[in-house]
Amino acid sequence: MAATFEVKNGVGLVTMIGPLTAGQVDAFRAEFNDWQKNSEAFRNVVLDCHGIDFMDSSGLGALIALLKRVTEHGGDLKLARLPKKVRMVFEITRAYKIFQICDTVEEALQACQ
Amino acid sequence: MKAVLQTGGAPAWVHDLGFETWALAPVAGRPLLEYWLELCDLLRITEVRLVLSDGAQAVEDFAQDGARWGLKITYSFLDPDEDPDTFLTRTPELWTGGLFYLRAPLFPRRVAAEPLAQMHVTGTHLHREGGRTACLASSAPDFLKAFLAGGELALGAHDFTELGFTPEPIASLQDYFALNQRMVRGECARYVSPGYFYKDGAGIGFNVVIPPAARLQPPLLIGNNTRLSAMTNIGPDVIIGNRCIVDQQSELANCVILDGTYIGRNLEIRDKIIVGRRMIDPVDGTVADIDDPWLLATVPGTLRPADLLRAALGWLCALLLVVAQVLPFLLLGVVLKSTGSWRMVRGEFHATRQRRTTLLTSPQTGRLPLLARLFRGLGLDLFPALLRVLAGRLWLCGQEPLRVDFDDALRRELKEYFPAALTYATPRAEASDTLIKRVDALYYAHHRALAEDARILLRALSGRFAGLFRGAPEEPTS
Repeated sequence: MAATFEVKNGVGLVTMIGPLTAGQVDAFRAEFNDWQKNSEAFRNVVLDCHGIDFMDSSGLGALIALLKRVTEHGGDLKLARLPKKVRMVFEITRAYKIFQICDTVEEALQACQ
Repeated sequence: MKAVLQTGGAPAWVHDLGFETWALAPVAGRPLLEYWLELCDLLRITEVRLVLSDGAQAVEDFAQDGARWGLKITYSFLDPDEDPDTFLTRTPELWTGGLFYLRAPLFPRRVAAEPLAQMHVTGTHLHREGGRTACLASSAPDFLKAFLAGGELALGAHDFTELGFTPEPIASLQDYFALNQRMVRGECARYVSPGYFYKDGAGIGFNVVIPPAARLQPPLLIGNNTRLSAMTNIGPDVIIGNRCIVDQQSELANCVILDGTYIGRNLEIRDKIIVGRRMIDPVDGTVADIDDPWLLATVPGTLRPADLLRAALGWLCALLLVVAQVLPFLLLGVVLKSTGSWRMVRGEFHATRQRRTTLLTSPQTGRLPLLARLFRGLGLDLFPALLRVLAGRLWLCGQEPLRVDFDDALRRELKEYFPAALTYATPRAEASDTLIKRVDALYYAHHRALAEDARILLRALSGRFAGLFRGAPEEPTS
């Protein structure tokens, strides 16, 4: 999985591409932590999930860990553009109850400001 | 009157459910074909010809000789590319005495709220789909002669409501889901056999484990040999097939769970069709395969009695081979290891019952030293795999074990997987390519029998022994 990290309008924006499964979560988590440590300019984070083609329970666990980390730093984590298949995983695991999911990145960024 | 039921052909929705033929796609927990066979019995038809095509073996395994329904079932085969009607026109004289013909995947929806009584077909009844005859029942010789001569005469034909049912097309997953929901909400009472009832809206099969802490909210249908765990919440409008497991704290509502599905812990399944590890949204037809056994998984099928016998005899043979090989393996193994003339590689393979196992394989090719040839010729390199047979991780004879990661796609494709120590490929030195593995695996799954196992065993061991004198291992053969 490839992820790009940027700061947009004072909000951290992570764009994820590829599957988010057990094989990728450690690297993604480490990348995210490094980026967050080095960037003090934002608290809130938006994950653009449009490019995620598959997610399993490990990937979901990684997102929950991310949510915990961001909220511990006083921020909020929002998900944007969930693909249908990933959305179905969110539905059956009830993860939609703990994440705020927006249809577009702009909507998510606006909700963070 | 005779019945001819075409079982070949699988529309897209059938493929999405993971079936090769529409005939075995379950409606309210029972294969679609069963509804038609029961209908034949009600129409006092005893001779049924099932025309097989895709998924032939599975249909034959299910219907067998038809004694379960009081029918006499015979089989014919038709090439998947052939027009189904050509089967009738080959020997028209067989059918002019009266014919009940099903050409397309339809569901025989019963009109009356109560189960049908037996009746005879008089006259001609016809149902057309897409401008062609999809279902026909006629006892009129003139009509049948004209029909079998290639005419599509609808003159004087009635629809099927007089016979108490209407053939209903299933064109999409949405139709399939809606049909199942109608069934669970009460229509399945029209199809119950005498002696059974569905008055309380709950149909529960044999050998279903329901702990006291599970909560059931009718209407619901649960198949045989299914296990619900504690704190599960099942219903309303839920159909669960046979051999399913619903793990703790999961909630199911308004969904269809097909046979052999494991639902993980603390999940919420609503408005979905679940088939093994596949999740389907019937509204837009989205299909998501979940490669995560913590969420959804396939429960392995039960073995046929013949497979159990093969397993038992295979285990005994493996035990004999291990006893005979243990000393030579230890002695020659130590010598070969010290001289470095034999190399074994550890790999991870898919084993029986969705487990994994590590195996030592020997990738040597070309001319081998004398001791190594002796080691291989006596089949001592198979010793680690034979130990896996004794541990229940492999069969003695069967399909080539598939490598984890490398062969995952093929493993998912194979519905019947019998990883074994001895396979069609055993005499070969190098690993088979994916195509040969697939062909071997499908051939074995179809032809597996004690005699086939004996053939593999003899061929594998004699091939090894012949290699002792030949020097180089056998070339791959198809």
